[in-house]
Amino acid sequence: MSNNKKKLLLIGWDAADWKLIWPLIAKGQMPALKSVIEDGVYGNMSTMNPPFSPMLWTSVATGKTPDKHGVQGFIELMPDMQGLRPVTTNSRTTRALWNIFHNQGLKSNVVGWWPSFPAEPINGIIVSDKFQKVNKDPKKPSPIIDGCIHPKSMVAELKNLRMFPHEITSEHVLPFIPLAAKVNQEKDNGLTAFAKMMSQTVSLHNASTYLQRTTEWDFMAIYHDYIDHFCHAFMKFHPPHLSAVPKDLYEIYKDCINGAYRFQDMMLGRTLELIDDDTTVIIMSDHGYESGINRILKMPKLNAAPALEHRQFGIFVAKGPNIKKSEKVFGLGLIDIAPTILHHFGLPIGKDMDGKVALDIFENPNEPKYIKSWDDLDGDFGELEKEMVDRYSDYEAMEQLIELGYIDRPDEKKEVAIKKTKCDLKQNLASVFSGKKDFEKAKDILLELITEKEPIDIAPYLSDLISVCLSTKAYDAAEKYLEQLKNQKTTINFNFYFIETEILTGKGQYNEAIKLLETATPTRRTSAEYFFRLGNLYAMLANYELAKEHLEKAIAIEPDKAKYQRLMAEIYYQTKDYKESAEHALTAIELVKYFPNAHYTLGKALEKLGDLANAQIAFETAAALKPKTFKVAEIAKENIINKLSKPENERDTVNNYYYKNQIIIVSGLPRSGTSLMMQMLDKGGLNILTDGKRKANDSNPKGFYEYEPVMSIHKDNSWLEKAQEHVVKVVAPLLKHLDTQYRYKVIFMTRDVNEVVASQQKMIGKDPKSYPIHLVTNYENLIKSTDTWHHNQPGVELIKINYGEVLESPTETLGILEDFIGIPINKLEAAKCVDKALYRNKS
Amino acid sequence: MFTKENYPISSSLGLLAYGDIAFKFWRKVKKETQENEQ
Repeated sequence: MSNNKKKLLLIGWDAADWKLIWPLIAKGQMPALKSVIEDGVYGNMSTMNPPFSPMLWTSVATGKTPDKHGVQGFIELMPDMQGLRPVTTNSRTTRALWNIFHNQGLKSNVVGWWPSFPAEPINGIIVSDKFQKVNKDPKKPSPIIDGCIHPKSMVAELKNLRMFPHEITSEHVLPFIPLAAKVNQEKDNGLTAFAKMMSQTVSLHNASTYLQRTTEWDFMAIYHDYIDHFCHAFMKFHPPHLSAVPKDLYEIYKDCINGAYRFQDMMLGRTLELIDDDTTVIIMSDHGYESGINRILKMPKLNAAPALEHRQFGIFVAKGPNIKKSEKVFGLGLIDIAPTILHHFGLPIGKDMDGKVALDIFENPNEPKYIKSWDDLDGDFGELEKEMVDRYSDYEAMEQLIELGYIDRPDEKKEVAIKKTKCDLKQNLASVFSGKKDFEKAKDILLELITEKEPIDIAPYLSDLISVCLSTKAYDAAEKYLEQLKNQKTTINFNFYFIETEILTGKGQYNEAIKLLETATPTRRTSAEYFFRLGNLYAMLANYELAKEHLEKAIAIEPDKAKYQRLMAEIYYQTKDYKESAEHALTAIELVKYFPNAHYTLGKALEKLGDLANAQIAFETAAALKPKTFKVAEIAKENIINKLSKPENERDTVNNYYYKNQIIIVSGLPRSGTSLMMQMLDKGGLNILTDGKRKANDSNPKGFYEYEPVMSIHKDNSWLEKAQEHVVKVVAPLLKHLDTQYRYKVIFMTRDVNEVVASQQKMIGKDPKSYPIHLVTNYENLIKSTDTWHHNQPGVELIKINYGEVLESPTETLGILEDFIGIPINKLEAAKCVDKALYRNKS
Repeated sequence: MFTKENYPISSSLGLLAYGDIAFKFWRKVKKETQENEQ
C-alpha cells in the first residue's frame, strides 16, 4: 500500500564531489541539483574506512558497518570456495531497508544498487546491478539472467530499455569529447570506455524512469556509478593540466568529467519531473574524488588502489515536506542514511545499527523509536532462499572491475587467486575495525596476515599494522614492523619518510623528525602534507613562527583540509592572536563539523576573547562529540560555568574551588623545596601519595616524599587514579605527562635558578662554585615551557610559591595554599617543618 | 551546451537524459533511419 505523504526517493551518485559541483552550479550547468539545494538542505557526507563502494553502499542500505553487514570488498568467494565473483547479495548478512519495508507492508523499487544481485523477492521491484552489464561484443547475446530482476514478470517490460555500447553515436560522444576524431583507437580505449559507461547509466536511467512512471512505490532507491567510473577513466585529463599527462590527450578528454556531472544532472532533471511535491528526495554520494594536484597518475599495485583517489567527503542534498529549507547541515555520515530513512517512515531504528538519525535535516523532528534489532524479528522480510543465490558467476562484471583497476586480474592459478582474495578481504575488515577505532581487532587480523607466505605480498599488511601501532602509540612495535617492511620484497613503493617521522614525533624526538623530513625527495617536499607535518613539529617545539610559515604553505596548497586549519588555529592561539585562532577554528569546523579538537580550540580562543557564552557552547560541543573521553573539554566547560557565576571583575583570578577528586601536585625544579613542601602538607593533615622507597639522606634529611611510578609517568600514568584526593610530587619536566582527564592543583616551587644549580652540584658531590651555564639555560627554558603547558590546560590551576618565602613566612604561605587547594591545612603543625638553619646551610 | 534549452528533447543527449519514453523513441527513429539508408 502506498502512503504518498511519506514517499522517499534515494538517489546515489557514486563519487560525486562538491569541489566539482559548485563551479558547475555557479555557471548554471547543474540546474536540477541546484533546485533541490535551494528547496532543501545540503552538506558534506562523510565516508568510511576503507572507501570501497560496495561496502559503502551496503552501509547506506543497512545503517551498519561492514563487519556487521558482511560485504567486505569488490569480490567474494564462490560458496564452494572454488572460484571468485563480483560481490553479490549473498555476502550481505543483515537486512537492508527494502527488506524492512517489505515486512512493514511498504513497497520499494530498487535500481542498480551495488550489490543487489540476485534480486530479493520484495514487495516491489528490484532491477539489480547486473541489469546494465551487457556483452561488449554486439554479436554475442546478452540475456537477462535469472535473479537479475524481481519479479520475473518485469523482465519483458524492462529488457528493451537496456542500451548497448555500440548504440552510442558521435552525437553522444562529441559534447563530451569534441576532438573524438583525433583519438587513436588502436592505442587508446577511451572511446570504448566512454561508450560502455554512457550506455550502462542510460540503461539504469531508463529502468528507473519507467518504474517511476508506471508503478506505485513508497521507497525508491536509484544508484549510478557513472560519475565514479568517469573519474577513474578521465580525471587525469581534467583541468588543470598535470604536466605528466600528454598535452594531446589532455586536449581530447579535458571536458569529460564536467560533461559527466552535467549529464547526471540532466537525468536528475527528468527524475525530479516524475515525482510529486510530497515526495522526499535524498541525493548523496559515498565519497568524493580527488580532482586537484593529488590526482594519482600511476596507481600503486595495492588492493583496490583506485580508491586512493577517493576523498573523505561526498555530497548530501535533501528536500521534502518535512525537510528544512536552504540550510547547510553538518556531521552526516553515510551510515546515518538508513536510520534517517526508517525514522522518516516512522519506523524504529535497530539498536544494532551504527548510524544515527540525522534529526538536523527535519523541519519537525520527532523522537526516534528504537528496537533491539530488525534481524532478530521473525516474519517475511522478502529475503532470498540461500541456496538460490549460489549459482552465479559473472565474467563480464569481473572484467569491468579489472578494467577500472578495483581488482587485479585474478592469478591464473586458481588457488593463488582465492588465497589473495581471502587476504584482501581480511585486510579490508581490519581497515573497517581501524576506522571504528577497534584497534585490537584490526591488529589481530593484521598479525595473522603478516604470517602469510609467498606469493602473498605481506607488505601492505605490515604498512597497515604500522598505522595501527601509531594510532595506539605503540611506537616501538611500529619501529619493529617498519624494519620488517623495509626488508620485505615488494613492488609497492612505500613512503617511509612519513612513517618514520610519525614514530619520532610520537617518541617526542621532534628535532630528529624535522631532520628526517628535510631529507625527503624534492617531489615530496612540495606536498601539503609535508608542510603540515613540518608545521606540526615546529609547533611541538613551540617555534610558532616556523610552524605558521609551514602551515601557510600547506593551506595555500589545500585550503579545505580541516586538520590544517585546526593546527593553524592552535598556532595562533599559542601566539595569543585569539581572533585569527577563532577564525581558523571556525573554518575547520565549517569543513568538518565532527571535529572535537577544532571546537575545543575555538572554545579556548573565544574564552580569551571574552565571549564566554559561545566558548561554553564550543566546549560543550567538543565534549559531546567525544562523550566521556574528552575530559579536558568538559573541564574547560566547567571552568566557564564557574567564571560566569562570578562577578565580571573576578573572573580572571584563580578559581580557588575545591574540586572533588582533585590531585594536588607539588612540583618545581629539583632542589627548589619540593620535599619541604611535601613534608609540610603531610604534617598539615593532607593525604600524601608516597612509597617511601627513596630514603632520607644528608641532602634531604627529612625524606624525599617520592612515589616511584611518577618516574615512568611518560609510559604509564594509570596510577593517577590513586592520586585523587592526595598530594604527590612530580618534578617539572614530567608535568606534561599528566593525564588531562583529571583536575590538578599544582603548587610550583620557585627558587633562584643559580641557587638551585648550586644546591644540585653539592648534592651530587661536585663543586657548588662551578657554574654549568647550560643547566641554568635549560632550567629557565623548562620554567617557560611549564608556563606554556599551564596556559593550555584547563584542568590545571597553578600557583607559584617561592622557597625563600616559605622559610620566611610559612604560616602566611600556608594560608595562601589553603585558599588555593580549598582544603583546610593544620598550619601550626605544617609550619613546624621549616628549619631556617637548614636553608642557610644549603645556600 | 548541456542545458535542456541547448539540447532539447530532439537532441540525442537530451533524449537519453529524458529516460525510457525518449529512449524507445530514439531507438525506433534510429532503426527506421538506418533501414531507410539501406
